Amino acid sequence: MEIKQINQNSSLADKRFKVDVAAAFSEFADNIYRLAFVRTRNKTDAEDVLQSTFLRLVKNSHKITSKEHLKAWLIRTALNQSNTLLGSSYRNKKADLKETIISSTDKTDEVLPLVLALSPKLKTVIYLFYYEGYSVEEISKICSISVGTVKSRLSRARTTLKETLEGEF
Amino acid sequence: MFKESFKKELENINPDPAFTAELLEKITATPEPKRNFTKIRGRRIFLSVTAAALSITVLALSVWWGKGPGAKPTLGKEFDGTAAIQTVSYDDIYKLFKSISDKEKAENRGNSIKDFFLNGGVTKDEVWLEEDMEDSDMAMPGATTGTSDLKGSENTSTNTTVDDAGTGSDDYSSTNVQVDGIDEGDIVKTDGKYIYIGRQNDKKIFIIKAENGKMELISSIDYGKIAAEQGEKEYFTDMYVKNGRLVLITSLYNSYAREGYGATTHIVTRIFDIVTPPNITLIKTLTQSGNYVSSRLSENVLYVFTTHSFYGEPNADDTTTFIPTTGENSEQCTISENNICAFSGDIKRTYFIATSADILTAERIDTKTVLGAGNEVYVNNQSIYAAACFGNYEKVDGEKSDFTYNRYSTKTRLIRFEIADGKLSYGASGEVAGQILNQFSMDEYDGHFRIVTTVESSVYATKWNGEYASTYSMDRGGQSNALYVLDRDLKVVGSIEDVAPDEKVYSVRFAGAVGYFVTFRQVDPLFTVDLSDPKNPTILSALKIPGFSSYLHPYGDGLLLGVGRNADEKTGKVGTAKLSMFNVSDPKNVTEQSLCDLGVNYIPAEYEHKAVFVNLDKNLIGLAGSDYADPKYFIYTYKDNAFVKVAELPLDGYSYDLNNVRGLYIGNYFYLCEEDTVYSFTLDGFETVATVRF
Repeated sequence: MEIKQINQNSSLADKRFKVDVAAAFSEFADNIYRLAFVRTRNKTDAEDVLQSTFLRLVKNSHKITSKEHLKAWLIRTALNQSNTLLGSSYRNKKADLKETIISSTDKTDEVLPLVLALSPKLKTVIYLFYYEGYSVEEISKICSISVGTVKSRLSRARTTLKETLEGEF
Repeated sequence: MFKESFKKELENINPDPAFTAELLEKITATPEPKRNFTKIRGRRIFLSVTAAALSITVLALSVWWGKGPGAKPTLGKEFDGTAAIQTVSYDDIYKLFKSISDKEKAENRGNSIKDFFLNGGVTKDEVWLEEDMEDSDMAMPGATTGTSDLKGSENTSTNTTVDDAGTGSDDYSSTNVQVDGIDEGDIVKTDGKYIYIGRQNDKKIFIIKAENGKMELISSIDYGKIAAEQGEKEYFTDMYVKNGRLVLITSLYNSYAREGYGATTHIVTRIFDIVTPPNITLIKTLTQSGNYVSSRLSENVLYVFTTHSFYGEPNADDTTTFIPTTGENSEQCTISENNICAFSGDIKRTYFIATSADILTAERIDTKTVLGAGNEVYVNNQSIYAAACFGNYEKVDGEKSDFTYNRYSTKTRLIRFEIADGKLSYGASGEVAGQILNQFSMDEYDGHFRIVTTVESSVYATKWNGEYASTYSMDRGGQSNALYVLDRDLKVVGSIEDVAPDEKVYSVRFAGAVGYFVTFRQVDPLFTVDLSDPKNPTILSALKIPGFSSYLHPYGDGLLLGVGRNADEKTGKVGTAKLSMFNVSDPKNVTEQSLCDLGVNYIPAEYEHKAVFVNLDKNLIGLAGSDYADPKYFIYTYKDNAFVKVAELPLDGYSYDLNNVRGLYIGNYFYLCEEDTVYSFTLDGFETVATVRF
């Protein structure tokens, strides 16, 4: 049987928001790098994720509808990239088993190593909430999870961090 | 403050400037869009080498088949009889919960844990709690009894018969389910005349008339409005369409916490009359407390399963502080004692709640609950099996004095409910070692219950190093897999244990007297098991191939379809998605007849069986896949012992969630459904017919 490639009807394409890839890079590269670093815990992998995320953006910029969409799309793509790079963190459906020791942070860092030691799902919401400043609702949209899940992950992460920090949160 | 430190420390994490300069040049030079692109050399190779080195080391240390260092995991037969169930009264439960909460107080478990539980996950003075207060109408005085203010709606007269004189087709596809005849909920449904699509973002169900490929949006159901008006948040959970009824199941979250007891979530089931669209009327709303586990529709009986956990101190004057509730329209009541049972032994304060309702009359039929949890279900037309997986940490001795050692092991508790015309009754209960993967791990056949588990018994060593803890996994031999066959009393009568040590189960499919399951670490053994003698399950063959299958689907005579991923044989590094067709006609000699690399990295079908379209009569397989941002829907057929690509349909739309894409057919047309678009094609040749957006 012949393979058929169906071309989509792209009459809506003209009305879309146009992405300036270079501008997007200048604005978001550092943050995407930091998100990738939080997920992968080392700089080489983070650079890899940064690269593939923006190369994907070049390929798919025509699908982005607005600035908010752009940032969320970048985050979502970077998360997917990190997942595949790590191979199996995505599969950990059961209770988070312990992480192994981490080494890439500054010796004077107090909280970053603790965040990095959290499981992937927990540290992602911590990053998006405390560093990017997204609200619980926004995080739920970006990560395609319910608001209840976002809150419970934040809670669990805070509980773990609080226990180890034993101080003001 | 945490936030300040976190931000400050992250600001120091920056990409190498030379790298970013080079990357910026690369992306501005690349014309858009482009399929292939070159990577900056060096990075990928570095990663592969590391992975290879690690895997080889691990391989050298590990075991293959049968032998193993470290202690053997606990076997199913040695459990301590905590799997028996008994009837309980409100009084028994109150006393039990009180003793647990008293014990917690006495142990003075850290403030953070106490705050977490007593305030339902909301710690005081949290920044996001304030945001939450602005977000919704939180001021709801007096909302502390078990009444939930769900608005009922119009109770109009209903038609209980289906109008068959319409222009729909009798030949249409249905959701890909585990057990024939037992429907499972999904985000897209069809009745041969209309396509019903749920969209999470704006809390609507869209109803699209589909006739000979032409489509028209004719109506929508807006379920978010009611909840929003009361300061609650509601999320799509599942949907069914059958016999003139649309069943919408949603999860309702209270954004406030009841003082001392935490927030309760409820599952809301709305039953609509859809006999004559666009006239859609809500007949009734049924509720039950807890978090959603699953649901099923069998004949015209809807079963909804939830789990409800309790924390804090029970209040003897308010039974809703320790008993779950069910309700109708705007009232909820605690479940009566006759409908509550409890597991003996180590009790968790979590109830598993099963309800049944007739979708034609929209009347609730029965409710049964068991204290001791259940987080996965298997349902056929006689029984409901609820499985609860528990993990246990137990302190053990170890070598180094500055480390603490804990052994972590898992077990699965089972309970069966018998069903008869929607009425539920308690059946047997039992226990096996290990944890299950998903609903496909369980099956009932010829009076016996079969289950495949991954058995954990690993030792972890933790060391506190100044400010933070590092934990190491000590015992590589602590994981293996097992298959158990249980009788009607849920006692183990036959088993195979210690299968594929150091690997996990990735997929299971039972097919009558034969069972298949896949384990993986680097290579995927597909095990074929002879289950014809319940006391003697036997592994007939173990086909080892690189990669693994996450979903197995019997594909006609002697064939088994696998959906999964490639992996590098040497390094074990997981790669792109693939389809496999196994020849299982000779169970002792199973072969991989054909393999098809889909060339994409992400396929929802890996984790969601409903996302797979399989039709044996038409010999078609459909599934969505993407390389992060370039989604497609693949259609394959199987001819002359090979996969043949029939079509590759591009997906548009702005939803991130490829998980919600579904393919279905009605008559001679194929409909590809996204959250905001449906495309129609001729089933023969996949020519585009029409597109509708909503």
